[in-house]
Amino acid sequence: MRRGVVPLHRVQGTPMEMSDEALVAACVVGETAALGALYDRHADGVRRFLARLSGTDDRDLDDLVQATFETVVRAARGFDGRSSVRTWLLGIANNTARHHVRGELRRKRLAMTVTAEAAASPPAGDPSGDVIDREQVGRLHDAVLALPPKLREAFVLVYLEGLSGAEAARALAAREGAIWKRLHEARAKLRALLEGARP
Amino acid sequence: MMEHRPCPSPADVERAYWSAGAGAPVAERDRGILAHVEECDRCTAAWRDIARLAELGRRIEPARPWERREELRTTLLSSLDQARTDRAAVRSPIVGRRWWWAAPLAAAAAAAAAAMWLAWPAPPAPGASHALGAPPAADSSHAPPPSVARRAMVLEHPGARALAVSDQPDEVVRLVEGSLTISVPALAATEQFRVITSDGELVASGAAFDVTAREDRLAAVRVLQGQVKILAAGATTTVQRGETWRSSTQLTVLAPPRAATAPAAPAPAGSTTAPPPGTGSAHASTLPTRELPFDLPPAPTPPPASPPTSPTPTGAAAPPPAPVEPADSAAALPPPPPRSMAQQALDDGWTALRAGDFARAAAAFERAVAVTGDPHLVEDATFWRGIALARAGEVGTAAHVLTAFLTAYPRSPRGGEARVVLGWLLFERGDRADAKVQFEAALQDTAPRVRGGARAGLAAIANAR
Repeated sequence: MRRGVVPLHRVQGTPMEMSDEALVAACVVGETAALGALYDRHADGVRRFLARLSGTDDRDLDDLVQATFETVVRAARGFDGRSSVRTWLLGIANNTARHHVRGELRRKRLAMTVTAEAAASPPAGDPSGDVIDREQVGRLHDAVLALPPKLREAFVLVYLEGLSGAEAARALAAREGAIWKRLHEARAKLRALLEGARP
Repeated sequence: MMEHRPCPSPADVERAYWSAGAGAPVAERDRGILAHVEECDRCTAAWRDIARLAELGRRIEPARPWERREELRTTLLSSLDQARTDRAAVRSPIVGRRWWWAAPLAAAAAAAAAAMWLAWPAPPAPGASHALGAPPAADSSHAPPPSVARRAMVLEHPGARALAVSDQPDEVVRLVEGSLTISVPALAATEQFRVITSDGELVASGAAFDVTAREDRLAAVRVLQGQVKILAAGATTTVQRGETWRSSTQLTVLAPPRAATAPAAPAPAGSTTAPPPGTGSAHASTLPTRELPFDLPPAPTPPPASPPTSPTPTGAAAPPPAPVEPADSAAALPPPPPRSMAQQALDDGWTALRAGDFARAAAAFERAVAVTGDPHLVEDATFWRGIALARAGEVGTAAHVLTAFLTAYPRSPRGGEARVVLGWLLFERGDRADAKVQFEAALQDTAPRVRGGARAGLAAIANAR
């Protein structure tokens, strides 16, 4: 893209033709169509991130996605373009999840339940490698959910969402060096959790 | 393998791993770590651990596909509209137990606002000063109560290009190309829903219909439920349920409007009855550009022999001057470029403003915003729309528009004027703190008249305490 957006000038290009940055700028002046376009582009990614980060059920996940995009409208004025819109959105989603007490409690309950289940019923020599993979992925997710919040956020953003260290630092309002340290700690804890969950 | 140098810290290994996989050039310090990892068993194991975790982690997905995706989208956008409406309602000046003294305060505010609007900022009338009458005080105090926004449901057909321009009380969808299916709930008297194309518009309430545009021209409307009013090609047509309206001009949409086909009926704004060659510039030449407190968009150079044949405002019931255009003069003079729809809409707005038809003026300025691609013109039209709405007594909408104007154009030369008018609107709504902010900001304006208005506003706030 294309062109920068001129607020209130809504005819040059449909929202789907605008850049992410232009859509955020349009959100500043209350352009709901722009918010709709942002949602269309990023809602799936935000939901996946929130699922990886919080492990909540579908309903809570929907609440978190909605809360994230509602915050986008209020926060759009503060978007300074130093990070990509995706990084910015994931930062908002992260904050939303962090403050979502109900989701957090549910996450802990879920993590405890699933981890206990995984420990109680390990895969018994299933011939299907795919099933084994799924088990591994499931155990890893449970372990991720059991990480302390700061480690979990850094791990999900970098390992699972593929953000660079600098982007993750911007999303989490932290120094880049701290991100690498958190990642190392997260990996160490994950190893311990995964080994602890094994029969 | 032998370790030739001390191992880097685990955090450095993390950084080097993700740095190496990022596709960007690897930093010098990370290059050293990469070389070390190749030689060090322990660091190689850490490296593989990172890679394995990353590979496994990427497979973590939400447990189930997202069934409520579209439902959530609708809920989100609706809740934002509702929140906006609620905020407007909360800011009503007459609240709770203070109503007994809020009433005289509102009356005083209305009188003050009316006094300000009487002199503020009036686009001069052609040939007559102060033709733009200020609304009586009662008008400005009759702002309709905030209504609950009821949005139309709009379904875009594949390939359609459309954009929601504004919300209730005047919800506008700008359709450029393709088809939409729209369901509009029954609206209150103060609300309306419109679809605008470059050459016309339709108005609906309590109706469901398909609307199609081709090349930014209204092409067809099929009414499924209720009725729809169409303003196009110089005429207003009401289409009932089960009926289909088609534009008869579709075959010639790309041809310039011809004078001979201009109807004698009043041309509604945005219709296909664009001025014939020569009329646009002639009309522009009748505008007192020197007196207007704004810069007209660059008008086509008027032909020397093109007389200001019609001082009648656009849209008036006089026959258009087109038929008087003689063939020989047309041959002698190159026809000026036709006036754009946006310029025409601006002209309509100013004409309506001068005539005291503030609602029509506001609609025309809004149309100009919707159809133009010129940012300067958008700025002008937005400002004047706010003024027209204020004069029409649409306090809430006017305040919203002027706030948006100041946000979008913080360096506008009209910023001071907008702030003063916005200040009075806020004052009238009882929002003295915000009004004070606007008046104080307007004190910095270079125009003495603006500063005077700001001082008057601040004095009114002080007296109201």
